[in-house]
Amino acid sequence: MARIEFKGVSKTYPDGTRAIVDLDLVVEDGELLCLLGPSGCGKSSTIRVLAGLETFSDGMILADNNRIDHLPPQARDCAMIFENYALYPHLTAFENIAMPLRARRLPASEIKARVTKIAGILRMEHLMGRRPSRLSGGEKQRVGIGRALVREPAMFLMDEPLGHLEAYLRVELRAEIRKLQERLGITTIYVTHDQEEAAAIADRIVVMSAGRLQQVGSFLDLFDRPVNRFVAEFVGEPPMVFLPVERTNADSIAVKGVRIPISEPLRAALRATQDRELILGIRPNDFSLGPPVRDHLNGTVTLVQPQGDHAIVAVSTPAGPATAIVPSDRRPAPGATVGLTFAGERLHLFDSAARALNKGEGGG
Amino acid sequence: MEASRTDYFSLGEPKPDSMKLAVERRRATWLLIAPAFVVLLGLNLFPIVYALYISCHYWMLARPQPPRFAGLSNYQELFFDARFRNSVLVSLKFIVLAVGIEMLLGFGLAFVFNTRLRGMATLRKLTLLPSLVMPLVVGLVWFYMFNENFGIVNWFWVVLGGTRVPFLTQGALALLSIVATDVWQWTPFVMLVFFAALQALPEYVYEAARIDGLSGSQIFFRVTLPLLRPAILIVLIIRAVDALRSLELVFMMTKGGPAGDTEVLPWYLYTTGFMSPDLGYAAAMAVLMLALVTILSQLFVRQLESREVTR
Amino acid sequence: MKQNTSTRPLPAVTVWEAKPQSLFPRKRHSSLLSLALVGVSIGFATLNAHAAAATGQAGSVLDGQTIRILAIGDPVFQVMQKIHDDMEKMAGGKIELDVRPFDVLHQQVLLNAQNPTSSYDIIAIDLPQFGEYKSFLLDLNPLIKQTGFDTTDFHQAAWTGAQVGGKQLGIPIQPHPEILAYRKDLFEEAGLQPPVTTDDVLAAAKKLHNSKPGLAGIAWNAARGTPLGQTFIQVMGSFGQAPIDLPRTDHGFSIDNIKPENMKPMIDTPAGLATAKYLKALMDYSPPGILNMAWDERVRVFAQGGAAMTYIWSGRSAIYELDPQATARGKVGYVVHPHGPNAAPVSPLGGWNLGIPSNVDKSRIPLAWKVITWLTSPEMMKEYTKYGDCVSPRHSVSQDPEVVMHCPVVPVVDEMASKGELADWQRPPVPELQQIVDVLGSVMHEMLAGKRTPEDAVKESQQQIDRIMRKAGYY
Repeated sequence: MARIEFKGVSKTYPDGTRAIVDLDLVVEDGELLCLLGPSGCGKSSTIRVLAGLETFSDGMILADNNRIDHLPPQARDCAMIFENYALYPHLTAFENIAMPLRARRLPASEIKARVTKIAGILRMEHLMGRRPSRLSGGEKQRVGIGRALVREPAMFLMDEPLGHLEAYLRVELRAEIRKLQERLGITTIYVTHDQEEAAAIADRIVVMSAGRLQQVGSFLDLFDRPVNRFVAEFVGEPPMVFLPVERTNADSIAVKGVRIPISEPLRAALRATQDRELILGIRPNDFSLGPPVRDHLNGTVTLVQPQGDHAIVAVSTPAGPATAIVPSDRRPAPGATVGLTFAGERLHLFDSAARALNKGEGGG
Repeated sequence: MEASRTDYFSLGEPKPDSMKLAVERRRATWLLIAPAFVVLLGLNLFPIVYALYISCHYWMLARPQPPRFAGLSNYQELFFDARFRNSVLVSLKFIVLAVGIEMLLGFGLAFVFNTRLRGMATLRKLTLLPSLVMPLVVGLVWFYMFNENFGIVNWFWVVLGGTRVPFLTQGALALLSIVATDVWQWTPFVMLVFFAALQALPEYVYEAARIDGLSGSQIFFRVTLPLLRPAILIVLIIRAVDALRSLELVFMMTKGGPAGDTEVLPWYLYTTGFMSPDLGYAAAMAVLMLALVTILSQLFVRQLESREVTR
Repeated sequence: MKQNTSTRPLPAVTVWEAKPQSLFPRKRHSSLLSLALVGVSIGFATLNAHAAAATGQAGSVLDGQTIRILAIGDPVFQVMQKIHDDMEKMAGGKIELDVRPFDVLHQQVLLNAQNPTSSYDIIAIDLPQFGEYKSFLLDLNPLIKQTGFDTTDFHQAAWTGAQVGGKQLGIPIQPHPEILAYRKDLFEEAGLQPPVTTDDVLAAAKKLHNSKPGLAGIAWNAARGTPLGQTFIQVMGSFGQAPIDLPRTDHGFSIDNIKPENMKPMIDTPAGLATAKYLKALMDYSPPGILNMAWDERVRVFAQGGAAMTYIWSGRSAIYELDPQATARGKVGYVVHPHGPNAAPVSPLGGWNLGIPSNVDKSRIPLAWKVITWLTSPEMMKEYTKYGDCVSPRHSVSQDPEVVMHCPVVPVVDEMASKGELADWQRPPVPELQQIVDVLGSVMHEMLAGKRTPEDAVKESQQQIDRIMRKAGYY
């Protein structure tokens, strides 16, 4: 159990690729923190550096205020769960789980007791005699989890642990992981590219891109108050719609000549900037479609994807493509012309540097 | 949960139609394989059966008389043949020493070559050279190298101030000289197999091991060694059987001398079958040697298989 | 495949050994390694003929025809390979000379005999092989009579050695004895007389051994197997005993009509024990590595001045007599195999003859015979001596000054032949000979290595050979 702190950590590969750029991050004791981002964003590198499997170029890593970055992986007391399970192919499930205890030369009786207990917790007593080649993917990862749990480490590092599993298994296992983590209260860093998974499991989520930390917060924080266009686009499904806007006034904007009503805080933010190349961000949920209205933002429906109780509607507007989510019974027909309206208080505005104008507020 | 899932995918009883089809397909398969099977069986089995047949006869090639049935007398004679017993013993000594040293050296070298140092690839290719040379040539070269009158080894030794060493004419030393030659020739091969096996070991297992807190030696004994087990067994089979059958080095270097201290089983068999030439007796020896080779290889193969099954 | 019969003189013992050997003797030590590689992988190098002009008028021997000869990688045939092109010019036709290692030749002769028609016109036969080959060879007597071939010029022992049951089955081309070579200069310096008895050999060896740095008393075949086995029975001959119980004659033993009761081994005899003790005594005055020394190495050690004496098949003396760099060149004296007490001086005779397979196409017999008479003619014999074959079974050639200059050993051997000191009963032509040799080569090696006493060794050898003979059903 530990509080982990990254201080200015950077990792640059010999070829000049920057995997991690100046990362400052605190993982609180007992917290489950998700590192979320597209592949290549540096999230895996971050926990591999923390585990000691990879070196880094700059900065320091502390656990409970002690530097650990000079220690070999063996001495960092972190347990890791790998995307490809990384089980010992020559050993049975039992021996795989027992390995960390054997490394610590615990007495055989204690090893047996602890492994058996873990097997019970994970409900896989019947698999203990099998080698990995005779386990399914889900079973393998349970063994991987068991191996991490058995030693009660200072931290759990999970590198896309459910990435290779089928969807229904992912849902089931992630719940199990969350339950176990809460019960044990072990600081956990969980890497994933799946925002739904992150939303379901994490106390806080860190969004990373191109080696840089973009935003830290709960899923709702990220969803409702993205600090920049990247977070806004990456979090939320289907992604946020972006439309270029013109400034008609110090505190008003228009899309293709159609004036857009905005909230007071947003207006205040708008007044504070001179930037003229602004981008409007609207979540598909915040659109509503109606009959076309003159002097309004109208568009042609290009695609309708029914999703059960709602449908995702792609609309081509003069300002650019937009996506809206509407109740199924109110979905338009493809080819129809529709008018788009949206609530002014749930809009996001980004400046030419892609930063959110209404940082930390707006939405809600 | 796993179990219930697999039930969805189980195929259940095959339908009568598909069963008929399967039978037909199997029949066709056998029909197609049959000629090759018969040829292979004949090629493999006939010489063995023929050797068994000869081994029960008195058959001197040098005499005009046809082979004469002799029952098991050849085997009986072998049982009391001290020279035969000695040659089996020498063969075993040779295998244990040569293959043992080759395994250890090859294993160690594989780790050295596994390091990603500049020039290792070239070095690796160079070290392979000895195993590309015909054993007979190797035997000839080393015979001259170890020769007491003309040998370069002794020459250097004397230049360095030593006295001549009877490499090939003193009992234990002669066997060791042959072992050394075999080691020279075959260590690179062993090294290469282990090197390939090492290269094939998954990196992730080592990451897991480090995370799990295994020390360097624990990683070696608990991870690397067990993972290399199949490679070790295969090299052991190949080398042990090969060493048991090899006679070229003895033939070129000592002819079994001094006083039979290097007379390996194949060399005794060769002199009996080709020089004397008492074919019946040599065949009996060959049959026993075949049995020995079979037992030896089966021991290892069983080890390999036992692992595959429980896996 | 191959039958018993011993490996004769210089020939390679076996298939594989033969190839490199053909190249080694005349090469220096430094190039041995590369030669070994080249020799084995490439096989016989084609040697350029730089031969002298033809001595005989043989333009009509072949008359445009082709003769097919199956032969051995021994000096005389190696010379033929060397001067092949000149010989073809001399003979006026094509000479197909297939040179094989000992065992392969033996095997091919036996296989060829099974063919309805022989693939070869002429084959090479080792002296002890006549007993085995007798039914496969043409009797040459009618041809000899018909053409008036002069037989009196040949050494008596070599000539009669090619006879079986009154039939002349071969014409000697390279028969030579194993004799003792000694360094005249060293013997003179030490005030020693040429050795006559085995005691003389021991005394001289003792005196000369280590008298100079790197000088051993005597080099000989003590390598395990055939080398030592042959040495044993050949030395035992000099102690007056054949390896099996052959009928005695005035001068030695008769091998004309060997009966089953003659097959009893005679190793555990006073002569056998004396032989074992003599060989054991030689160990103290032998070069390093003696226990692995065979035909090739003993001559090389001697040639380079590493030993004061060596047993040698006389034809092999060319190795140093024709090598300007050899220490021993021109300083060597030769004597018949030194003998034991109460035994006659006698050297074992071995070597090669030319014969015609009995299944050869009848129409080819005259040509084959013509070629044999040409190849064994005095002119050709003399030619061979120039290129490394120090052998002459013909008295007329042996006294030729040019021959004597190239091969000082030839007149010495000629004299031995005249005195009746050459014999072939030491290696009787019986099928079990190689087994006898093999037993002795292994048991006596244990004796030399100190694992058995001489008494024990002769007893053990006797028993083992006795078992072989019983198994063969002789008694």
